[in-house]
Amino acid sequence: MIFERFFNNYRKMTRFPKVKNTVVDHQPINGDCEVDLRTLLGLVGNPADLVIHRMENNQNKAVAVLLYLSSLASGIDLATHIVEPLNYLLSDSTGKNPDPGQVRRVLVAAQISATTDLHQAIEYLIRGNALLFLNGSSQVWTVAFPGFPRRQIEEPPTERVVRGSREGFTDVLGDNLGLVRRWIRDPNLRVELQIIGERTKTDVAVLYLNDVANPDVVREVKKRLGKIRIDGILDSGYILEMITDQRWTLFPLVQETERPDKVAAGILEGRVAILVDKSPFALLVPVTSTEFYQTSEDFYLNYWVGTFIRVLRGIGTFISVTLPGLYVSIIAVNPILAPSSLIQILASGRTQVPVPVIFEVLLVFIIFEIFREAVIRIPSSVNMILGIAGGVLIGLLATQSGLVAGPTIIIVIISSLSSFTTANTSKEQAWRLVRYFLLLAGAGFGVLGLTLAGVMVLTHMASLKSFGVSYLGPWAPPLALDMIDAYFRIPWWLSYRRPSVYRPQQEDRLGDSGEEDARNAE
Amino acid sequence: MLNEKTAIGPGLLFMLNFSAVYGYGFFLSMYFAAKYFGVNGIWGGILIFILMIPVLYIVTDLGHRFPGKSIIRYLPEITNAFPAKIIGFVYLVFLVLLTCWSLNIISRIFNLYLLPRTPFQVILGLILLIEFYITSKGIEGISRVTAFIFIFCLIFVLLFTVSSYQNFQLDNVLPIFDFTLKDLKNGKYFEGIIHLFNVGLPSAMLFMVYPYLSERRKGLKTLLVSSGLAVLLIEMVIISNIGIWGSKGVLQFDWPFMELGKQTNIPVILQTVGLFVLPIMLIQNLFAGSSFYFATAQGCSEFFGKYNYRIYRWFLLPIIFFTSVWTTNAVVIRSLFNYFVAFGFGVVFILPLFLWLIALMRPEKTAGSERGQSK
Repeated sequence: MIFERFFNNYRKMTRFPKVKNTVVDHQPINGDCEVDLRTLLGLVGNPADLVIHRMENNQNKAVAVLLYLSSLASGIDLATHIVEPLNYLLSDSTGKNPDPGQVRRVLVAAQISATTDLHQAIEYLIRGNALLFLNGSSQVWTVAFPGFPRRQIEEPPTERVVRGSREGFTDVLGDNLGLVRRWIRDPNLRVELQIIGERTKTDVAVLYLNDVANPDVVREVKKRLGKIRIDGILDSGYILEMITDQRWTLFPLVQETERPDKVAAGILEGRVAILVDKSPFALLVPVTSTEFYQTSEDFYLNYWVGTFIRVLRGIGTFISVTLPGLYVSIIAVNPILAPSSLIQILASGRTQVPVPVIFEVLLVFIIFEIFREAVIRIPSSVNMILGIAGGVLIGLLATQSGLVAGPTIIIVIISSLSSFTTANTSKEQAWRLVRYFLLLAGAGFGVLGLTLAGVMVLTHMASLKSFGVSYLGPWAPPLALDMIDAYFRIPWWLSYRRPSVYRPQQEDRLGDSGEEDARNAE
Repeated sequence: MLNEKTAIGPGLLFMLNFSAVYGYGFFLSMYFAAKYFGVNGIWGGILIFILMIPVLYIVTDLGHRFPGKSIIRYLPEITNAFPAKIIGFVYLVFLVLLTCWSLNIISRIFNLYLLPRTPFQVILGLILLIEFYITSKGIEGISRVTAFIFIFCLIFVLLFTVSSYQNFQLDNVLPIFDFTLKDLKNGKYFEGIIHLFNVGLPSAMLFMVYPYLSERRKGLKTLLVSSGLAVLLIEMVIISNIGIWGSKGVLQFDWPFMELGKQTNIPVILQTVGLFVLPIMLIQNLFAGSSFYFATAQGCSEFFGKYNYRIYRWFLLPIIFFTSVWTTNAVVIRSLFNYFVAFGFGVVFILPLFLWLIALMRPEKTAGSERGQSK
C-alpha cells in the first residue's frame, strides 16, 4: 500500500477523512447588510486585518457595508474612489434602500464585478478585493484595489547578463504577465488561467502562441495541470514536480527561468510557458538537454562570441562531471594511461597523504560543498571575507600539513567552478550528483567504471522525454539543423526556422508571414 | 503530448549499425587480415564490405517483402512452420553466441590491459549488467544514446586512425598484390574470408531491428553508408597495423590495436591515444552488445509468442553470463572460435541468401495485408 502511494501518487492517502471545505457551497445574499455581514463573519471568523466600513443614509441608518482585508487591499484608494462618492450619494437618499444602478455608476475602479453567492464573495475578499453589500440588493459588488506589498522589478540574481534586458520576474502573476506581454504584442498570445491548490487557490497561467505552439503539447500541459490535486501551491517548483514526465529522474525535464525575455523566446519557438502567482520562476515546456546550455545573452552578442561561450559551457560541464573521476581512475587504478611525466607530478604531490585518493577527493569535495552551502546562509556583509579566508587558509594548511595533495585541491576547485558554466541551476545540481557517481565508479574500476557509469547516465538521459520530446534532441534523433544550432549560435539572418525538435505548427521565422501558408497551400 | 514513437528513423539506424559493425568488428579484424592474407591483408576491409553488400540488400529486400515483420515472423511465410522453428532457433542461438562473444572480447581486453588483478568474471558481469540496463530502454533508447555519442566517438576514432600512421613504413605493405595459388588451393584464403566476415556478423541483428525503421525507402542506402564508414575506418587501421609491424609482426600481439594505441601519441601533447581509444571502443562495443542482446530478447519474445522482450532479458542474463565465462579459457576460445565464425558465416550470409531465393520464387503478397509492427 505504501509503495502504491509512492508510485502512483496522483491521489494522496490521508490519515484522517478530509473535512468538508468551508467555501464550497452556494449561499445566496440575504439583502440585509447586517445579516450578510454576520453570516460572513461566521464563515471567516473575525480576521484582525478585516476592515468594516458602514455607510449610512441621511437618517443615520446603515444601508451599505464595505469590507476588505487591509493587508491585501489599498485602504486609501478605496476611501477615495468608493467610500467618498458613496457617502455623497447616500447622503441624499431618504430612508429607502440605495439603488444598485446608481451605486454602480459612482464606483470608480479598474475591476468591478458582482456576485450573488456569499461564498464566492468570500473568495474575492481573500484574494484582496473589497466587498460592498447594499441593503435590499441580492448581489454584492466586488472592487479590486490591490494594496499588498510587492517587490520591484529587479535583475534576476540567477541569470545575470552583461548585455540584455535587466528585467526579472517578480512574485506577482499580474506583473509577470505584463512583462511577457510587453515582449510579445501578438493577439495570438494566449493566456489561460487555472486555479490550483484547494487552500491557496494559486493562479497558474499557461502562455503560448496559438498559431505556433504544437496543440498536442498545449493540450497535455492543460491536462497535467488539471490533474493536480493538492492543498497548496507555494512556488512553481510544486508544479514542476507534478507535471514532469519522469518523476524519479535527477534531470530537469521542465526549464525554469526568471527572465521574461527567455520566456518570450521560448514562446516564439513554439513552447508553452507556465507562470505561477507568487513565484518569480516561470516554467517552459517541452525542453531538451541543449536548452540548459543556452542563455539569452548568446543571442544578443556577436554570433562568434555566442558560439564560443556555448562551446565553453559544454566543455565546462564535461570537465566538471568527469575530471574528478578521471583523476581518481588514473591515480588509483590505471596510471598506465597517463603520460609518465604527469603521473610523476601527481604522485610526488601525494607522498605524505595518509589516505587513499578516493577518500582524499571525497573529503575535499564535502568540505567544498559545506563551504558552498554555508556561504549562502552567512550574512552577505561577511560571507566574502569568511569564504575567501576560510577557503584559502584551510586549503593552504591542508596542503602544507600533508593531509591533502595540492593536485587534489586543484581538481576539486576546477571541477566545482566548471559546474557553474551550466546555465541552469537545476541542471547544474543534477550534474553535481552525477559527478559523485562517476567518482565512485572510477575509484572502483578505473576508466572502465568511469566509462560504464557515464554510459549508464547517458542511457538514462536518452530514455527521458519532456512532453513527448526526446531529452537528448536534437542529437537523438538527429536533426541536422538543430544539431548545428546546439553547438553554434546561428546568426539571426540564417535562423530561417524554429527548432523542429519542438514540432511547432509554423516552422518559418524569417521572411513575411503567410509565406509558409502559401507554400503549404501549393 | 506529442505522439510517442517506437520506430527509429534512418539517422538512428545509421548510428546503430555503425556502432554495431565498428564496435564488434574492429577488435580482431587486423589480426585475421594479417594472419590469413599476409601483406594482402590491406585489402581486407574492401573484401569485408563486398561480402556485406548482399547481406544488407537481403535484409532490406526481405524487410520490404514482409513489412513490419522480423525474420522470426516472416520465416514461417517463407518456409513451412516446422523448418521455420528450426531455423529461428538456430538464428537465436547464433545471436546469443554473438552477444557472448562481443562481451567476451571487451572484457578480456580490459582484464588484460587495465584491470589485471580484477577477476575476469567481475569485469564481464559488470559490462553485462550495463548492457542489460541499456537493453531495458528498447531499440529506441539504444539507438538514441548511440546517436548522442556518435559525433564524439567519431572524432576520437578518426584521431586514433590518423595518429596510428605515425610510424608507418611503406615497405611493410609492399607488394600490394601477393596472392599465391598454393594458399588458394589449401583453402587459406577461404578460411580468411570466413574469419574476416566476422566484421559483418552484426548484420544478423538487423534482421530483427529492420522492422522498426520508419522510412524503409532509405533503408538500403542507410545501411550501406553506415557499414561502409565503419569498414573504411577498420580498413585504415588494418593498413596502419601492417604498415607499422608488417604482416608477421602484427601476429605477435593478441590485440594489435591496443599495442597501437599504447605506442601512438596524439601529436603535440604526447598523450597515448589509449586513454581515449579504450573508452570509445568500450562504448561502441557496449552499444553493439546491447543491440545484439535486444535482438535476442526480442527474437525470443517473437519465437515463443509469449511475454515481451523485457522478460526474456532476465532469462538471457544468466545464459549469456555463464556462456561467456565458460569461453574464458584460451584453449576453448581457440578451438571454438573457428567454428563460431563458420557458423556465423552460415547464419548471416548463406542462410539469408537461401531464404531470399525461396522468397523470390514465392508469389509476393500485397504490402497492406502484411502490415503490422512487431511488438
